Amino acid sequence: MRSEAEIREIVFRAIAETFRFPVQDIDENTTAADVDGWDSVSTAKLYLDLEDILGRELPIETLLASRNVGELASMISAFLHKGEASA
Amino acid sequence: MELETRPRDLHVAASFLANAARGQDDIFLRLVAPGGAKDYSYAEISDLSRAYNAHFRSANLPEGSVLAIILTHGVELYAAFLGAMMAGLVPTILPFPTPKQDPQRYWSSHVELFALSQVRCLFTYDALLADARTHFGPGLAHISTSVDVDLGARSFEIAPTDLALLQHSSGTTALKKGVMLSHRAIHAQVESYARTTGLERGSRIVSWLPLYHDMGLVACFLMPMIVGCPVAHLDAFAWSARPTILLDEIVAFRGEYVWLPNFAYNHIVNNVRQTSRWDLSSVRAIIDCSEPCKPATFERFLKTPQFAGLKAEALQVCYAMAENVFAVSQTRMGETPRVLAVTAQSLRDGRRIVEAPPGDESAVRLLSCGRTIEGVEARIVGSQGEVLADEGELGEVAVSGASLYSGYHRRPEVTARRLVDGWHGTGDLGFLLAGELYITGRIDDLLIVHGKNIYAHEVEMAVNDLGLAIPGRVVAFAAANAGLGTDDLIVLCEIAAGVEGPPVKRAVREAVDATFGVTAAFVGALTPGTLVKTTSGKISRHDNKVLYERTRDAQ
Repeated sequence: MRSEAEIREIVFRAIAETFRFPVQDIDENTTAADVDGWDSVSTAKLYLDLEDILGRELPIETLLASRNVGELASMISAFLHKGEASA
Repeated sequence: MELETRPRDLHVAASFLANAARGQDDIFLRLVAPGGAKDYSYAEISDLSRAYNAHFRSANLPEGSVLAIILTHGVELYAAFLGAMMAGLVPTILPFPTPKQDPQRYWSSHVELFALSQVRCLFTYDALLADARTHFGPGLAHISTSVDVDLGARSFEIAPTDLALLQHSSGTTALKKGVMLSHRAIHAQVESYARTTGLERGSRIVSWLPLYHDMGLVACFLMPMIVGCPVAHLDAFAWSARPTILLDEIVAFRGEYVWLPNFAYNHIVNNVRQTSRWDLSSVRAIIDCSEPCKPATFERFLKTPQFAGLKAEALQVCYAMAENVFAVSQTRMGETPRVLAVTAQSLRDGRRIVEAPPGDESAVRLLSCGRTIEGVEARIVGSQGEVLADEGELGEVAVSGASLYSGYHRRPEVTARRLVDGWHGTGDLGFLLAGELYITGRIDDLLIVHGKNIYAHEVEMAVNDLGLAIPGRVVAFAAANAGLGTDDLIVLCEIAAGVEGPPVKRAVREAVDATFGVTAAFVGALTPGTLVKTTSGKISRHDNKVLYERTRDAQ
């Protein structure tokens, strides 16, 4: 099981690669408005990449409510851990 | 096709109820949510509409009052819309606030819009009531929410109004124009467009389009009500985040008709996994509309191996606008749309297109928008208002006919400029060739980004108003996004020495998103003197766009 810190790292790297954004400039408070090219359409590619890396289909409708990168990582982490706990 | 056309039935709600009477238990609406789909029969929606009719009648509002409806895409939206019409009100569907929008900015812009358009009635959810009351104060004559509706009450009366609805244009909320559409114009459009596309009672439509946009409102909401077509409707945000859910629903619903803006084809293809497969053999037409349609988009979509059973002739093109209710022209069903290669020089000259010789690598390929639908006329007009009757002459497209709008609500000065002697000047540049219409651009600074229309000068004004850039040193333009087959919005501004760039970029992006519902793909916070000026000292949109694209492409 990946730790919350590992999942956060995966999310940061996926954002950096999807939007060609410096990973060192990403923190938990980063929002889509901070990143050139991150809009509702390109979000789909980010989710697709994350699903490929994590090997799981993510609850996108839930993730859409995240307000920043920290919340996005926490939601994904909570979903994965809940899934594994109930498996 | 059987279509009610008797005068007493020239009412959207009456037409819907007539369809409901013919198949009470038939499914009319499937709302597709992340947790699953829920079906609603004609009987359920007509019954609910009668409760809403009774609710609005009990408010004793003057007939013809405009009712703004701010709801998400749920069954209440259908019932409120139909109920308002039955009660003699004129509904207008406005965008629901998104989580990303600043509530203060959302409501204050609507206060301005309501004041300008003299809209004084609002129907929404209880959750928005406090915000709405705070911002509008005594400015509203009526405000109610879905919990105020007595679901046990019924009114069967239908007020015989002429004006059916207002469809608000895109752009800055406060400056939106309410396009007035009569029941007669809507029926003329629907009857003609349904005949052109072969849409008939029972044809199945799948859509993710929001209803405050003409394509979603007319093709996937009004037309199904009047013709009697079941619709599977997905949430626009969910579709945007996982676009292949549209394909899932086409398969599940055996969908036959889909309307999409050009970028949506590419958005779907960009998010298809290699291992997936969809049986699209039920599809009769996926119709490209609302932004320039690209031959490369169709070619890519058709080559996608995961789309089984999709016929090449199913990809169609429509040219439409709210001022004509919807469609002006449409390519011929059952045939692949014509692709015309013209010289880039003839487009730049702007007088008459010249077909490109074979092998001309700089040729521009254009997709035909087809022939005008029955009851609609289109002509090409020169800069002095003269009609350009020759084949291939370039000019502004003007439209006329049975489904033309009645004007812009409470905006006589704009109506007088755009609607002259029964002809609406569209602002689109194009030409006619062999009876088919082609669109090549705009005569003004309208930008079409992901199917949404926004004006460059309004974006620049909104950014200037933030007070973060050097006054007047802002430019907005659209740059081609080849991967999506649409344009991206680019905003460049100059900031004073010592001002940090990232917070300015964030603020600009948030403001543009909140004001226009469009995300700027790139925001540049530049040092003073970077932006290119014209010889008269104005910031040049064209030159800065060229500079931006050159820099981007070099990276």
